[in-house]
Amino acid sequence: MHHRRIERRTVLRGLGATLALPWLESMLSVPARNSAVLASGPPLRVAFMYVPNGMHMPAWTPTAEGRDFELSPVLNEIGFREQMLVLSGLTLDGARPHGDGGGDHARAVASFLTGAHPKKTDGANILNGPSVDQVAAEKIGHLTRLPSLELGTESSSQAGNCDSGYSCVYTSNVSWRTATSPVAKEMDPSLVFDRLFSQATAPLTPDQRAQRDKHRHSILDLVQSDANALHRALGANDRRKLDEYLYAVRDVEQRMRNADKLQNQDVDTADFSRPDGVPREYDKHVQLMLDMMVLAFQTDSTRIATFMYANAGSNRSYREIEVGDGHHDLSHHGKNADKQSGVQKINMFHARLCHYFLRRLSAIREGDGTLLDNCLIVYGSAISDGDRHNHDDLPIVLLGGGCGTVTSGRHIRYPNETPLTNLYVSLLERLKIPVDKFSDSTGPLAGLS
Amino acid sequence: MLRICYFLIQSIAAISTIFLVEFCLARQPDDLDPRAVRLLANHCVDCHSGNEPAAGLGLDQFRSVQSIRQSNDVWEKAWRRVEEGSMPPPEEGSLANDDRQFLSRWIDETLHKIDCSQGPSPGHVTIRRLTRSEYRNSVRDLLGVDHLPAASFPGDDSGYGFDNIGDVLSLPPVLMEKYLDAAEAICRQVIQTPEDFQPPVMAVDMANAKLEGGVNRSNGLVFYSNGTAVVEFDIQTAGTYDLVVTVSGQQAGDQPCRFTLGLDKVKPRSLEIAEHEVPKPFTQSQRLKVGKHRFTVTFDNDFYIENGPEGKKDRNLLLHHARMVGPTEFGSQVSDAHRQFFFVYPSKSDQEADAAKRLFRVWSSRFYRRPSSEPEVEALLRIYSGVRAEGGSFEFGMQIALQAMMVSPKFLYKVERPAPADGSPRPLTNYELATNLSYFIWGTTPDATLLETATKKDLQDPEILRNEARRLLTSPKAEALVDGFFSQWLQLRALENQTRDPNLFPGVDLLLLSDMRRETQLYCWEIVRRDRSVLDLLTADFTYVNDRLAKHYGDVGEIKSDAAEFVRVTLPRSRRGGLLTQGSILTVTSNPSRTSPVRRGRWIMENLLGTPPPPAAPDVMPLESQKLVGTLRQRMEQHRSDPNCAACHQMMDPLGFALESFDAVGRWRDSDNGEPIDATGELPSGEVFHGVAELQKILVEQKREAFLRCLTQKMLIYALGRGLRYEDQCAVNDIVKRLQANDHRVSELVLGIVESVPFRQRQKMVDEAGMLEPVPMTK
Repeated sequence: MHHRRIERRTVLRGLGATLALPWLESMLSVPARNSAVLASGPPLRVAFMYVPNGMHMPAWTPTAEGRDFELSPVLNEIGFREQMLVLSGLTLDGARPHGDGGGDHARAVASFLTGAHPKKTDGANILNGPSVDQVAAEKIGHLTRLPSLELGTESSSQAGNCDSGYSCVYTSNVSWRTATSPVAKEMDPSLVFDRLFSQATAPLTPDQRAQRDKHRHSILDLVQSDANALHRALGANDRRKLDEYLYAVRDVEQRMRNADKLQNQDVDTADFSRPDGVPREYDKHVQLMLDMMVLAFQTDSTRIATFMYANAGSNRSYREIEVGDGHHDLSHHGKNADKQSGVQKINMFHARLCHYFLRRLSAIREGDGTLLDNCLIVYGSAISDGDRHNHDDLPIVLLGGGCGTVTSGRHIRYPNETPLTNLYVSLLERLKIPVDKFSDSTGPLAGLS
Repeated sequence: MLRICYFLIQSIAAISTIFLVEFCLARQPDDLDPRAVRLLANHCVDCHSGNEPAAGLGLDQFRSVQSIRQSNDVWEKAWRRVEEGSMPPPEEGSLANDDRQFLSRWIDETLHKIDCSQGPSPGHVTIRRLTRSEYRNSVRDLLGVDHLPAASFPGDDSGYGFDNIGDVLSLPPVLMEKYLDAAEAICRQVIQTPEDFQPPVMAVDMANAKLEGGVNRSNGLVFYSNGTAVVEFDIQTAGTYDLVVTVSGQQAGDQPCRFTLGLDKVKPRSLEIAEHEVPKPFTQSQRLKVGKHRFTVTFDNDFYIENGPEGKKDRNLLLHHARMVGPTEFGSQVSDAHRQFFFVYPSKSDQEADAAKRLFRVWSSRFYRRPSSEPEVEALLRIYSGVRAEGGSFEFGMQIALQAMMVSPKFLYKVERPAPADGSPRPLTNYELATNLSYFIWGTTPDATLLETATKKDLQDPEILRNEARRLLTSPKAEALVDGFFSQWLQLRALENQTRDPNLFPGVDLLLLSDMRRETQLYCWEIVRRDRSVLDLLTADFTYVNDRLAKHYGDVGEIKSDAAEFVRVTLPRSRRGGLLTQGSILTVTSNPSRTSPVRRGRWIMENLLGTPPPPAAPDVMPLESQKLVGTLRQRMEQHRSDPNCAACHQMMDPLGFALESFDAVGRWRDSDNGEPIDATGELPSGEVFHGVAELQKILVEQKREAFLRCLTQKMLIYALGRGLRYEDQCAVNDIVKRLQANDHRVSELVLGIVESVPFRQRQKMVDEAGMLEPVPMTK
């Protein structure tokens, strides 16, 4: 078997070292570069982790509130009680039917980070809303080599109708750059690795890299003028598609420029082998994707990431934990105890994988604490009970220390119908991106600090 | 019995289309049907009126058919609620069943009625990016390299069941990054440059060396005393070569090891190696012709003392290995792809710009699928010249310019000129038509012949278009239809996402699932290739299996072949035959642990009959959750007694029951959980059947038109890269008639689509101006 192992130091030297350092230390070594950031401490990283088909709520919600909450069976698997803020009672109104009938799974995924009510269509006139991760990436993405990272385990491409008249675009993408442009996710950890560390096949010397970038700039200049010329000649719908193209071109150009700007010296992070592709086993696959997120955060390659455990309404079975029935089928449990226990097993399994993520983050020292102290991770689903398809009282937990901007180790119950998007306003605030409103928010989410 | 199946509505609508058209034409603009107005007034507008209507749906402001159509978003929702029975709510005084049916149908017709008397309308297609597989195929056919990295592009999202829908295909930055990387990798593979050139290296086999005084050992040729080795080798390409021999010496005495190296008849050179037991390369450069050559190594200063003052002293020479490196001139051994790309090559530097221009003119025309303009060629030339000016080679300059072509929107998108703003239809240009034709049937860029036809003849001429379409369809490249269209239509791509309970279904792994997929693909391909009736898709008496799949089925006979190789088998009439009996479809419509008659029934309604049932109302209890007893069938029958479920399940369930003789991975079974299988059923329209064979018979006889219509719609979506709208029914009608008049041959379906107005023409989308937005036809 081909097993390629890249020594981190070699990679960094070979590529002109575009990886930033684990925070702080790097800043100290180049003090003049960005004293503002230095003064304000390590940067905040934000991740969103989506679980399909809702949650077995009795095994999720703690009965007690405040500091003395008990770890429910699912939360117990996540562990890290002192890094946990359980947020009960939040509602995602955009995912509700509002007269559009079935399709709660598609709407839940499309709405999870956008708060929007996606337009019901199988293709024509896709319309959702920008997602919170992309709003953040647009504002702070230029500070890192990759503005954001979108990861998952199931390909976007699926056969047939995805969910009751909703295009697969809605069922497979939580990240939306604009209301009409979803951001495709990556599911092959080796390809994520290549994106993070720039080059899989042929490491380039700094000179080679500079030369290549120069050629790329001239290629992009040319195709940009091609696209501009086309743009003028086309109708409105086509223009929207060309806008995506033009945006992508500018984004790549911007990133190449950033790469020069963000050059740094070597960094000692643990060596990590390039993954061999997608593992057969689901849990190994998830772990590798989470490893990639850890690496990305650790090297400050990006500060924003999303991860989908599976696409909307996923009906995979989980042989690893001896759940032979499909997840979606089980989630329509109709109060059948066996089925509920199957759902709970899957919920706990996903939670255990989240625990793995947290453990990795907490093992990395950063500044005076750990990387986990400088993260905020939203974990949960946009469906509460999979049988009822309700979008209120959602299972949401906020994990990580948030650079000291949250007081963890608590269970907060909000009044019913409190918009989930209020949480996003609070997250954006903590990323120093003040907004008055995000989607249907009514203000920041109270009581996090 | 409050819900009405789409199926019923559509059959009624189909029967009465002619009357409706006349009825509608005769209707005055402000004349809304009085019964509908009365029903709306009595049951709806109490809540749905005023400044803050319930659910934001005001139903009181409409005075004409046109005003209803203009607010179609409101009325679509109203229609859905009335149809599924959730509105008006029971406490508002229930709507009598026939009133509900009437109201639902009236809204449907008011919103969606179509008038085919003016002929089919063209419709608008949003600019389409190449899909992953279209990209890969196009690069393969243009440049002759099969580029696997296209597999690392993010998956294309699908809409309307297909992944080539312009509205859905997006281009996120990560994809642009991958396009750039792919273009670079592909161009380096195609165009070889002096910058990257590394002469080929060939190891010379020394096993047959002629030895005098030396011995052949596992680590090379060893000379314990003076001696000569003569080694022969073959040269395939003339040019300058470096012969590199690697030798080491065991030193003794006062001289270093000395030897001569000779190549062919050139006088041997005398060489020395001073290091002790350290292998060192020695090189001899020489021009060599094609044919046999030989080199000679002679050890000529052996030294040996058995019992000297310092004991034994022995000087030996080892010849470890020899390699031929070359030809060392760039360009002497280029790849076929390189040769094919450079159909002109400048022999002097002052011809370079001209050659580059000619190359750009041709290649950009191939990449953009239409003749490129002079400014386009100039722009490429500027990129090339930029590279050349800073010292890059001619080839490298071409490589960079080719990359620019490959990431240009003119290659990555199927660009079409916009239709006139006044809404009049525009015929596609020859090149646009050629592009659509080629991507439809071949899934790739037009070949040279098709582009030549587009240049010299009028592809809008029906006969010329038909001939070209036939040429494409009868080529082996038409197999792209199988992977592009059939696999997506039949949802075969979902097979790889299937997981099966290993305790219940041991041995059902990815290999077997891909065998199942292959079976159906080969089956469809035969029907396309032999131009058989599309009805054979449902009933043919043959299939393709390999050893593994045959063993899995257990009832298709034994396959005496390599385990992986597929062979065609004729099936006994009784059990198998036709798509519905193939493992792929039976598996993809099952749950991980058991069959699902509902999913199978729904699959048939969606994909064979074109009447997808509406989703279950959210508050309906699924089967498992109700306190039902008995076999799966008995429990489902009890479930169906709930009027909320009955309307649709009366259709879905019996269709699915017919397939109960096959388990969740497509194997035949006579019993399930100890209960004998009962594969009988009765459709709401009265047809009774026993088992899958009789169901298939009903599908190809009584339901034939529905099947033909469904297949036509699906393939039209794929061919156009957009969802269908109600007005596309007119084109669909024509194609179905054509199929019916021509033995339902596959070619008539494909040609019918190619010659249709939506395929050949475009029209500006009117809803962009805020006017009528027709709704998609399939729900």
